[in-house]
Amino acid sequence: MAKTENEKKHYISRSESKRISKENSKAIRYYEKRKKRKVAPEEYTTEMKDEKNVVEFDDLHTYFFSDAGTVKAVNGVSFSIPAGSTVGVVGESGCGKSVTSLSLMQLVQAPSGQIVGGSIRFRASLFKRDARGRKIPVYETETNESGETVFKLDAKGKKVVKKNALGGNVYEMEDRVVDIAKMPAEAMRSIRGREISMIFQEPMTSLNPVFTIGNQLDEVGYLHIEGITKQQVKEHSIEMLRLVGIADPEGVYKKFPHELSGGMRQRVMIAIALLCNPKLIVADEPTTALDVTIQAQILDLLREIKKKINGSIMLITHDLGVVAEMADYVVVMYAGKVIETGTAEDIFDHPLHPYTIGLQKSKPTVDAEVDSLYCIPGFVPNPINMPNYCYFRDRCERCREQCSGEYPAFVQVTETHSVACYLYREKNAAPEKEEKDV
Amino acid sequence: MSEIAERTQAADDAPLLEVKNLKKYFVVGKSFFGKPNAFLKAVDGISFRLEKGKTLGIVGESGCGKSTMGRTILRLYDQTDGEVYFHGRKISDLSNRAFDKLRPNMQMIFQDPYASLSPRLTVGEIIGESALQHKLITKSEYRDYVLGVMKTCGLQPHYFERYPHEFSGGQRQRICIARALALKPELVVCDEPVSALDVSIQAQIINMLKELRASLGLTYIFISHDLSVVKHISDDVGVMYLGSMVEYGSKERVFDHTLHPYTRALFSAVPVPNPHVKMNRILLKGDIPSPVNPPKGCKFHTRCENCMEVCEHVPPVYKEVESGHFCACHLYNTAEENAAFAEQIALERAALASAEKNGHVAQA
Repeated sequence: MAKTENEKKHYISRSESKRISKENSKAIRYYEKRKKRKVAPEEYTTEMKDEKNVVEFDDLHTYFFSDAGTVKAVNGVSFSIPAGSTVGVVGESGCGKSVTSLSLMQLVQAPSGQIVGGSIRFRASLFKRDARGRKIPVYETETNESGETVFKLDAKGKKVVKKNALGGNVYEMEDRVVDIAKMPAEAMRSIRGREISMIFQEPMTSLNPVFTIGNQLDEVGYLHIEGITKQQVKEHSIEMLRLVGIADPEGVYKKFPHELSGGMRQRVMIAIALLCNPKLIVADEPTTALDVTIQAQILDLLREIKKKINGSIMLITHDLGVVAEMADYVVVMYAGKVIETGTAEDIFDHPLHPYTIGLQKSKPTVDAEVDSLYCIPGFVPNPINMPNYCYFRDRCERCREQCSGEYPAFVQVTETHSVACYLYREKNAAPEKEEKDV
Repeated sequence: MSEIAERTQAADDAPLLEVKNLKKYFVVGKSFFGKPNAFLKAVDGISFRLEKGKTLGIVGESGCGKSTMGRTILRLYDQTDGEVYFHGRKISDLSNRAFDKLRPNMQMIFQDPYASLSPRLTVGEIIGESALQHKLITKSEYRDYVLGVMKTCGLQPHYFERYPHEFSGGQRQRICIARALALKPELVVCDEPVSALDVSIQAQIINMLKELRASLGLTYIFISHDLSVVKHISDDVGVMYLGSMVEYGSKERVFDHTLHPYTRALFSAVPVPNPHVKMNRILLKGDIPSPVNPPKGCKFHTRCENCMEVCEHVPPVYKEVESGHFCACHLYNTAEENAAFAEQIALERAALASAEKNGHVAQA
């Protein structure tokens, strides 16, 4: 059978593949070196655009240098997560929502995956360091007979380090806005797991099968809370298991992951994420592998915990129902780009982008009865050769002449709602004349 | 084609499929001499009727035996007990060889399109293999026949010589559907056909399944844990919990006049894509109990919010509460039944008490 146009497009000649691998190794070497170098903290310190935000993604680019070409998994993503709120990131598989979250954690699969450009600004409370790069402890003080405040000394005449409620040493801290995209891997370690923590998609595969639950919980405590004793770590771990609603925390502490059900494992994952009181929890499809009844339990738990620790949640999911229920703000992604952002009400009551509308119409709901579901025609474009016009043009039923031009810029339709589409104009809530059929 | 007509010849008034008290136990423990002594009751006494052209949706949590039920009906597992009638003809006691003749009439679409296609066969071979095996077509007709089936399922003819790894999830699922339809079946068991797919692809596959049902007169058993999908495609809905059917009826009845507390909890747990809907959710406590050692009495009583005393002792009877709407719950007992159950519990208590007394005497 003759090769079709499509097949020819995927064919890579030998010289071409040689060229690609040469370019890839050059790029990878450059970015790997950049991650390992030692830099002064000033170099990655920046300023927040809005003081209320915890995280700001600004034109983030994360590429994968594959043998078939460069895959632009995240291609200019900008949005922000306000403090104390839940932001839902929705999109189909392969749209770059997981890679965005992994970039935030600096966990993108290296060496082929690299953060190439843009910035991720995060307000972190970091340890203050002295000239030699050591943490500065806070010492216990007491008032002596003459009324002066002096350092408390132990039996050996050494100053006693102040302890916090958990039993860990207290160090001098400073608030600083850092750019995670420029941070070296070494410095990232004090943020990952302590300030930002992540709940992974599959609790079955993300727990280590050869260590007990207790072991895996304690590890986080040892790493991030300095000066804590074994007994205190254990107590804290059990306390966390209790917090996530495990009925028999002492028993579960000694168990192995395979002895627990899916819902319990996901609870353990949440307990691990909560261990250091993070400011931001990144939940990457936390309920996709679970049943509806267990999903309801876990979502309920996440909501409660957000209130308790007063943090923010970045919730990544493809389930619009989950987003509607949990999120305050919604970010819709398509093929590596953000196409629409707004509050949950904006996105669900007045969806603007044809893709968002299509996505909502294609999901059957329990309340509404329809004869046949809407389906978005066509496929997601090949991530290696992205077109230079709107990525959704070929699947869009409302595309116009303009759409063949360059990629549409973001249009601020209302205060909170913005969309990347030529159908809309600045501060003009209604589309030009076409009726929205819902 | 005459062969197919022959095979399906039977009483016309009988439903396409009737299942009576179907059971499938897996042996999980054996005694020292090899006698099985511990069972996992994956399917424990299920009965339903399915008319031609209708779709039965089966919902339930993972591990409740939905898939096992589908596979047992198709004899992919040997059943432990019960009867299955196809066109009024008892097929559960047929020999394997006799059953093979019936197989083209019942096909299955599996859950994971990434795992259920052989990576070494081309799409044409995958689809045409079984038709050739069952002698529905000759070798000379093979290519045209397969291309025809591919066309019905929205696959382009030049896919014929490609391999499964070249396709996306949605396309693979179409190949799986084409493979099932190549035998011109009457009954198709769809075991979570869309749960591994993206939302927009899901819509394509569901629409296609609906169109095929209308054009080919197919009958589906649609197994899914996604209630909204089941509601969209089914005529009848059965809700399973720990191997038993707890509620069964027409879609309208089950969704709008829900009887069983488990069904109510399951429906209330589904997130609705509307931020204004704040649901008063019935949160089920804990996990689904182990099917190896299910709770005594009603299997659901450990998580039920309407649990009564009788639930802990006597398993409820699966019966027709309203016409065409079956339910297994003590909430819908008649007065006589309640009296009988109360007596039974009293007797049990007395037996327990006397046993305890005897034990004390023996100890003393």
